[in-house]
Amino acid sequence: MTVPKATSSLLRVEDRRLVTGRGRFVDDVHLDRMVNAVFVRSPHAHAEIVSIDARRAKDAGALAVLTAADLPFAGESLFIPRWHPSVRKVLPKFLATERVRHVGEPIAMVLAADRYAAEDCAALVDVEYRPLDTISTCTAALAHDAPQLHGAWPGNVAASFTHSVGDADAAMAAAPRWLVRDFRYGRQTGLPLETRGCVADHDSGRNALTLWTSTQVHYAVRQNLAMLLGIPEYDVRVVAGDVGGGFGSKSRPYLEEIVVAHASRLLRRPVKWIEDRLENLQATTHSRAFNTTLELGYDADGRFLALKGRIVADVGAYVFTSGIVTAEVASSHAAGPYKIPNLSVEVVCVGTNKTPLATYRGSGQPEAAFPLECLIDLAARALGLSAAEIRARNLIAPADLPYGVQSSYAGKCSIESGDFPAMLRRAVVGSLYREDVETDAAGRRVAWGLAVGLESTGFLNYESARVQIDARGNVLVFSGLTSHGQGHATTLARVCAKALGVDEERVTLRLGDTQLLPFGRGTFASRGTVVGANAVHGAATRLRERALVYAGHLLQSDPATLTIAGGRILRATGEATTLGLGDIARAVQPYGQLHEGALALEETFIFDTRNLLTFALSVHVAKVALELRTGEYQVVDYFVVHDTGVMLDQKIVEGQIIGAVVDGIGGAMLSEILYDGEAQLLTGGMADYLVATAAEAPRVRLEHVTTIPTTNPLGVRGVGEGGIIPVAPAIINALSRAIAPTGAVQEQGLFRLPLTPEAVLAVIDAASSQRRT
Amino acid sequence: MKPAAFEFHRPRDVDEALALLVRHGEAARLIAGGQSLVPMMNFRLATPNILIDLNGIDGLAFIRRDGDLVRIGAATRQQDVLESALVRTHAPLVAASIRHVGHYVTRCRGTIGGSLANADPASELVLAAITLGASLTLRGAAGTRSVAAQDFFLDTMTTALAPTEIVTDVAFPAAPEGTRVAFREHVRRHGDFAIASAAVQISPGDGRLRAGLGAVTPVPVACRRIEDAFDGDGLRADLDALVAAEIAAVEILADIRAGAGHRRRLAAVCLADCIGELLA
Amino acid sequence: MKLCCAVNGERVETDIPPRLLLADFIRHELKLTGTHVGCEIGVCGACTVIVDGVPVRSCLMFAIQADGSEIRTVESLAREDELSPLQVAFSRHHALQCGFCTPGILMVLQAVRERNAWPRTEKEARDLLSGHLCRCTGYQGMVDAILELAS
Repeated sequence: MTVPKATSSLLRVEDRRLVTGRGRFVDDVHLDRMVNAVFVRSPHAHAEIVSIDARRAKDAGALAVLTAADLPFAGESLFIPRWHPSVRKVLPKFLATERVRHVGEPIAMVLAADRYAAEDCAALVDVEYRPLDTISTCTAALAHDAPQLHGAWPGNVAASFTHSVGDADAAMAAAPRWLVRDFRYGRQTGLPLETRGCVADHDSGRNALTLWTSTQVHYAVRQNLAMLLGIPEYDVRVVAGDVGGGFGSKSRPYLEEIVVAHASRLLRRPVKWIEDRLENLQATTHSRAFNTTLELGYDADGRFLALKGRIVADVGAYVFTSGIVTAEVASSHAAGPYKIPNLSVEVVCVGTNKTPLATYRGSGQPEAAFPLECLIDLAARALGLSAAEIRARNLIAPADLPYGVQSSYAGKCSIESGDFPAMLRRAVVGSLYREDVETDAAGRRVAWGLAVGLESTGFLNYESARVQIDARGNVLVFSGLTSHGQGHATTLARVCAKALGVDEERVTLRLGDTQLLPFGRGTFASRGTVVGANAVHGAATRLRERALVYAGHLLQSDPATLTIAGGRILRATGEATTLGLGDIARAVQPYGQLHEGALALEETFIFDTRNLLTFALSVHVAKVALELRTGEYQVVDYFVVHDTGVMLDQKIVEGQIIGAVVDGIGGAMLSEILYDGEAQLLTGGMADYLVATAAEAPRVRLEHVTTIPTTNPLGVRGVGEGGIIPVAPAIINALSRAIAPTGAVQEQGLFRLPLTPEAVLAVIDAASSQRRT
Repeated sequence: MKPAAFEFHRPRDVDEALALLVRHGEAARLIAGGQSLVPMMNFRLATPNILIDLNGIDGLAFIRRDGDLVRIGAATRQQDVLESALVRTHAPLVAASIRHVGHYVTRCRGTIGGSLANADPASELVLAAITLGASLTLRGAAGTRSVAAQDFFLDTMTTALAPTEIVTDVAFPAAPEGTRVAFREHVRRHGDFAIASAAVQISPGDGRLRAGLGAVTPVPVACRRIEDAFDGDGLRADLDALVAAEIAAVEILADIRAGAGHRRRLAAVCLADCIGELLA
Repeated sequence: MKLCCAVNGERVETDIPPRLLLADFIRHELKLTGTHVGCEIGVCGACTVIVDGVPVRSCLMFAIQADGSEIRTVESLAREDELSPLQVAFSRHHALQCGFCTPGILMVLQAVRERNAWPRTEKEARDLLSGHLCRCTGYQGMVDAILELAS
């Protein structure tokens, strides 16, 4: 089957190179004289470093062994753009000197010709440790006689704050009914299929650095490299080519990037470091890991009056560059999409001898939705209301808009569009949701569960774009985003094409390279479409207007009587003119008749969100089949109603939702980073840290509801994380219905993630023995 | 995670392989499919100085009927065993068990001999071998010997294979006509290591029931109480009581995948379900 | 040690250390970087290639073991600009997002097509895919592509 080069039967422009194995991921970069780096990492969770002796490694042929003493910036830290005011700042050192505080903390870097030799040499770096008592749980950390991780963290508390709205204490005390339960969210991680890694090429002749790195945030990496290595930013180029998934685990600069870049400068050779999977589980930031107590006050009609929560977050051995953002997000969105005028969430971030905590798909929103959506189902049951009905009575409704949400990480935000109750109704109807429990042919108990998730998208202001048209009418777009599967090169090119009036095939979009634009941010927090696409839209719209003005000059016509379609200037009547966009470009460039100093026909634009968040709701319904004798369960059907506003590409939008749902199913059923009592990492590979495979994934059915947000010109909502937010509670609500626990202890037995068959069976046993007595 | 250095040998026949084992002793490891060994080498948990590749030896991969036995060469790929009509017909329990071994790609390279010699407690093939009373042919410099499965598998990842021996084939008793089998296992995910597994075979022709329990003990156990209670038609005692007795008689493993108590529950369910399926 | 093999139809003769993994040989010696490494223990499937007609995890095989063999990687599926029906189907059904796991899955599917073992039902497709991890797509597009090509 022949497919022409400029094919339109492929879904995305990225696909051709990816299906032919011509992607350019960081480990695909091969440079002359390149050497390989391996980090010597602590096998101890907590220890003093007595000595580091690299002699045997050097004798064995290591090109270099770097320790902190070799780093001019050893006394500094990665730059933090923003901290919560309550955070006691302690970041890890680039290479540890006196003490290590989690398994996997880097101590030295060994350089050799290839990775194999580097590992040989790394094994010969002799580090003498004096092990210290370890802290492997928050409970142990908060005990009065616990070892102290940092002088700056009294009582091993890294941060604590309370987020409150109204007067939750008074409202709760006055509430006729209330429920309080404990929830445990296990430690999880993004686990992109491509691990982290970078290739640094320092040009000693020009003191200029190029770093290829698997990152979501190339500009932040550039900023850190420039600051810490003392190189002007314009001489630091960071390239995020093809990135094999990020999911929030790559949305920050990392220690290794700086050390590897320095090594390149020191050795005057390109240096490559590729994280192996064990390192990825030891040294890439973790997430979730919250213990939450949540209390809901409500009345006899099921109206929510007050919400009080306490979150204990296991942040690990340091607060890393993202600060305690997941705790901030979880507390800010504790009430989700419901009208709860009084709420108070106390957050305590506790230090332990584990890998530091940061973001992972949802970044605090799944952590908030899990307790809330499970508690709401209990309230419904207590009142004899359906799970849908109690939610319908409390969801923010069109009449309540705009509805203000106070957040600590993004200031005051507003839900200004969307019809949440209608979406709930559609979900119930479309999924065939019911609350009776059935038995399937295999004897499994089958029940439905539902949950609602509110996603905040378009976070972190400003994103850049430049649109440029050449003399042949080809359009080149630069974006400050990165791409790790979202198809931005396709969708943003389409946005440009539509705004300009050209065919999509004439538009090429480049991103993931700090050399393209002097300012950008990258792709994270479901912002790519909201900020990135609107930046392109802004640039293309303005460029179109200017092009029409130029066309007007050339045609001696009023620009208002002209339009652009298919790259050609047309009269409003549809009549063709002699001009195309290429002609305009030529006229504007040097030597052109309209030249006034411009280098090209181009427009640069920065999209300003005005600090508005764009919210997106989804309603999830899960059908779960439970084997009562073993606690094993399976998600047999899954339905999502989602409002993404305008969809730039329906299939791409659906892919984001389905991918996130399946990620969430794995997170609900399987995924946990486990440490033992000495804070030794037990899940060091993909055979132990489990994620969903195609066999665990159901076919996800989707229904789109479209309302247009007013927060951005394109009317889009981000969609990268919404699909994961309510997955776990939807599943647990189904299981709870299937088992019918009798009492708080049993209910709480299900309120743990991942929810293993072992845990489910314990609840089944308790419930049936309770019923027998 | 890259392996430590080693010397590589690709013997052309078994004698050459044995000579290498004799010469290098404990410093040498055999590699066939590599699906278990290479991950360990990548982690440097296994660091042999000498690696002896068996893939170049002719005559170690075969599936044939040998009188009243089904004999399978040790280097036969698991997927070939799974797709074999001969195995499906004459050793149906082997076919049923191998369906659960890993995934398609790992079965295409992994060998039956490798899985048996590796002796992982969760190995489905080891369970089938114990349940059916298979025998393994071991060849050493001194000669060839046949070892019954119950004498071959000694402990977790420990067998009676001497450092200077190679498993050359495994022989299963051919199933009489009319044999029915059931194999079930409990896993966290499809294709993962079994947490509890059961293999049962009923042959009306010789009136025998064979049953085995896997993944819950260092070595799978044959369920003699249940086997003895089978009278040709049904069980002479209550199934649940027999199952409970089998499980109570052994010390159940606990690990990162499941605790002992949960394994006990799963073992009871899969064993009872297999027997129930066949006696229904 | 001397290694002679054919890779995507081209003869290769070279000298390599025995411990060099086939995946690393393909990627770093031959610079065929379409094959990816995700876990180094044979679980994720990203490194899957075809050796003598058999799909194998190239992270679990030493390159020297492929002496005398024919190796095929994802780069062999398309001819110049002409994508295979499988590659086109994957794109159209949005069976890939970041593309990192994709080559391994394309190769196992190429292998089952050649071995006459193409999945005919959704369950069979999911069983086959369960040996390959993807963090982006949720697998649904892959299943759709497989079922479209089953007919």
